[in-house]
Amino acid sequence: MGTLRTPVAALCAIAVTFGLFIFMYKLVSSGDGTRDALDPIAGIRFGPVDIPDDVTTRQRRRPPPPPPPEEPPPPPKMEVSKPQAVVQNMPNVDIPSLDNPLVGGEGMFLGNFGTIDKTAEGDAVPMVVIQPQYPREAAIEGIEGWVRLEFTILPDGSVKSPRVIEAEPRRVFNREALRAILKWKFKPRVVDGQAVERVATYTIDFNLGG
Amino acid sequence: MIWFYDAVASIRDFMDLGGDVLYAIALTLILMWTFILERLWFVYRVHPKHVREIYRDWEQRADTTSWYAKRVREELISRANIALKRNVGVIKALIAICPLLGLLGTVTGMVSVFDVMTFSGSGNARAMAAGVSKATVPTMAGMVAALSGVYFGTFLEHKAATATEELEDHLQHH
Repeated sequence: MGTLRTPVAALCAIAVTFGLFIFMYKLVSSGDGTRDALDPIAGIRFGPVDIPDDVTTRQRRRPPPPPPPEEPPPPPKMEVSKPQAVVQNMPNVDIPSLDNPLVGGEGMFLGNFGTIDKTAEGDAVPMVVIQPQYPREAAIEGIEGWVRLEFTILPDGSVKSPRVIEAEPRRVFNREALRAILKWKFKPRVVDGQAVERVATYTIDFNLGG
Repeated sequence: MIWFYDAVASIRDFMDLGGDVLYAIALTLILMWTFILERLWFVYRVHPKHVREIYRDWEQRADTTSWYAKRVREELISRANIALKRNVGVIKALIAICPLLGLLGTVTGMVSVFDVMTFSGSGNARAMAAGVSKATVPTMAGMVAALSGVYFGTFLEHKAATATEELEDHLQHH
């Protein structure tokens, strides 16, 4: 019994192995016969390669010249609108005639002609504007205001020795305004082609939400 | 018979695909299953007869409580246990060998891939495909072989243990 057992088991084992290998093959093979349908491994071809060796001459033909251009259309005539005289109805205003002398004399004095002090009052034109920092406390409390500064514009446009003339509200924005104005650049005054120093005033507004 | 030839042809294809390591795996698989089937046969066909003989011998004994009787009982149990456990260790070893053989196939396959690469560079994927399949197919074969055996290996070990215990329980002193 013991002698027969092992050979029979071996035969059965061969069958089992056979079955398992078929199972493995089924696992590996995808579909039926696709593996055979693949091309043989693409390698180097050693066979004769057809290279066409008969020389052909390229035919060169001069392309026909393009037809001459037609006469260009005449340029459109410019239509110039004639200026029409605008007739304005000037209102008739009663202007009292002031026969007062400008300089000297007696009676009413209208002031000196051409003696407006441009250096003092705010025709300072800023070229470079750097927004001042809004003070924290003012921003929190919602305070708005303005600062009027007086300063000297140097010939190169920079600002020297600014000081606060007037501020509303007082002292809230002063420091920031001074710090900002020092970074600004103004257009210097030019006298006879030379840039000169001048004193100017400028009002910096502090507005929330702007 | 046609299907049999078909099967043989497909197995030959498979062997070409996987390389020589597959033969080693097939051999291991045949050995493993020989032992497994032999064990199964033993456990279900031969072992019950042995147990019956042992019972009969033990029941016929007049003396079952003396020191000698106890040693005789131990001997009977030990013999049965040895007979049950025969080759189970070999089966477990073969199960462990299968994936390792697969790994061996992986390495040899990779070596052949590198061989191809030294000749044709890494651009020719088609030429490398043979080596790659030589690397992967034995791995899978080893896995399948081990998987097919793992359950029976554990089952036989468990069966040997429980059958011995059962025998011990039935050999009562009377």
